[in-house]
Amino acid sequence: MNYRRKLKSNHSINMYLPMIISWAVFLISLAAFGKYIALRTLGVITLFYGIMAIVPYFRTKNIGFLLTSLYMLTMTLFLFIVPPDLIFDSSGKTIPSEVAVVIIVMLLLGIWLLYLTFRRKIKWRGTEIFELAASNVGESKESYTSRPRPVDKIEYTKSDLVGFANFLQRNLISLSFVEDTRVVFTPVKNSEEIPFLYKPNIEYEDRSWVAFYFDGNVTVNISKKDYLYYKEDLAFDELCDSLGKLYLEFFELYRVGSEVRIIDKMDELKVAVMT
Amino acid sequence: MEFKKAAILGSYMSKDYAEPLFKLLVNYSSISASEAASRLNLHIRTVQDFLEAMTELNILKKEEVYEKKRPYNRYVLLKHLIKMEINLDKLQENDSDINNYSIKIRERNNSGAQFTTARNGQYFSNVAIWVGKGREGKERKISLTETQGRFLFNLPFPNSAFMDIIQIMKKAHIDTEHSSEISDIVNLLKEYGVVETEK
Repeated sequence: MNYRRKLKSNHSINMYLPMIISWAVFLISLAAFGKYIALRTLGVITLFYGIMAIVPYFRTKNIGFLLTSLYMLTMTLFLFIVPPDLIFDSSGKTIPSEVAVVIIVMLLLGIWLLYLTFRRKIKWRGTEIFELAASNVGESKESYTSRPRPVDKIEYTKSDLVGFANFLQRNLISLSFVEDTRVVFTPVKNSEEIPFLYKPNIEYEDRSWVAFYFDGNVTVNISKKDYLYYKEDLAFDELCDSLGKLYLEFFELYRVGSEVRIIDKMDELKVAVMT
Repeated sequence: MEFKKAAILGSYMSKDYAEPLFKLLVNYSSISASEAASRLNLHIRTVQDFLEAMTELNILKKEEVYEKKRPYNRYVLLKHLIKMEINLDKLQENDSDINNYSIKIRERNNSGAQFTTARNGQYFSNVAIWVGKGREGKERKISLTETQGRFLFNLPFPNSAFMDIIQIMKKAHIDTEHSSEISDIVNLLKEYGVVETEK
């Protein structure tokens, strides 16, 4: 299906920053301290990334983060055990067996990760959510308000809701916050996940969210930042309603066991893997 | 009794000298302001204001008398029983078109109002409005009752379809007994340009 994109293109370099920093530190170390220190410094950086990459796994239970962490830790091991000469001048040198094993594991993990990346299994789906919500919404000037909007009232059980929240998190469709009276779902776009995952006590009230209250009410809030991320001024009332209805539709699909249809709906958009 | 008259009566009755002054008025067949003032050691102006106010309220009667061709007033108590009865229902606003609950409203675009959500997240606890322009501007925060907060939570967004007050109240599950407090907040927000009505 062909959708006319309503969101602006994402030109953020946030997701490439760790790689850029690592290379910069590596090159500076190489110039200042030589091959041995440079490789070990890079090893310390990948160790840090490996540890940090495990945090989102505990939050979302998405296997991709576990694999990323394992990949980075394997790379750390490689950088600590590989003889520096093998990297910078490998001609005529044999690869030690333990290094060879580590390289094979790294390659396998790398291929697995690439597969998950291109299947969009480790992609934050905020862009798809906002595109789908806007698909049938017309334009209207100056219609934004910072108020949340009640959408509907439906019946559900708390366990259904918690199960749905876990599903959305596992598939990186939204992050969920379970409160005393409601569960709040916040769609996260690629490269915007860092504060959600690492900042303690994040304030999500001013961000975009859909809240399912335990009494059945469903309320939507769209932040000004996300609203302005659309290319045009969309009718804000319709947009909020559409976003709420989208989550309700997803919830119904989840309840009847058709979770895969939710993923299909988002994959149909064919949004670029890195946005 | 009209509210304004009751307010005047209440204000004078609360004075320390009200009881001794009435005591004099009960015991004397008539008394002048200067006689009462000297008797109670009060300023004549204070006593005169009190007696004039009671005359306005028809509690006293004023008689003009002459002493050496100079006129002055003597006051006589008319009512020995004062009843203060105020019908608060008369305070219900009737002079606004908002009281026609079929009038259609929605939030005005760029109103600048900031709504704060209550703890349970399903109604607003207050609304902050920017009053005035530039450096003269200041924030006015209006605390809302739960009913008003629920009503505003369901108020149509800017540029969306207008809804009449009854429809919004139904959507927000608000009983008609709360309609006057709803019309009060709608009137206020209309005055501040937060709410607009369909033309």
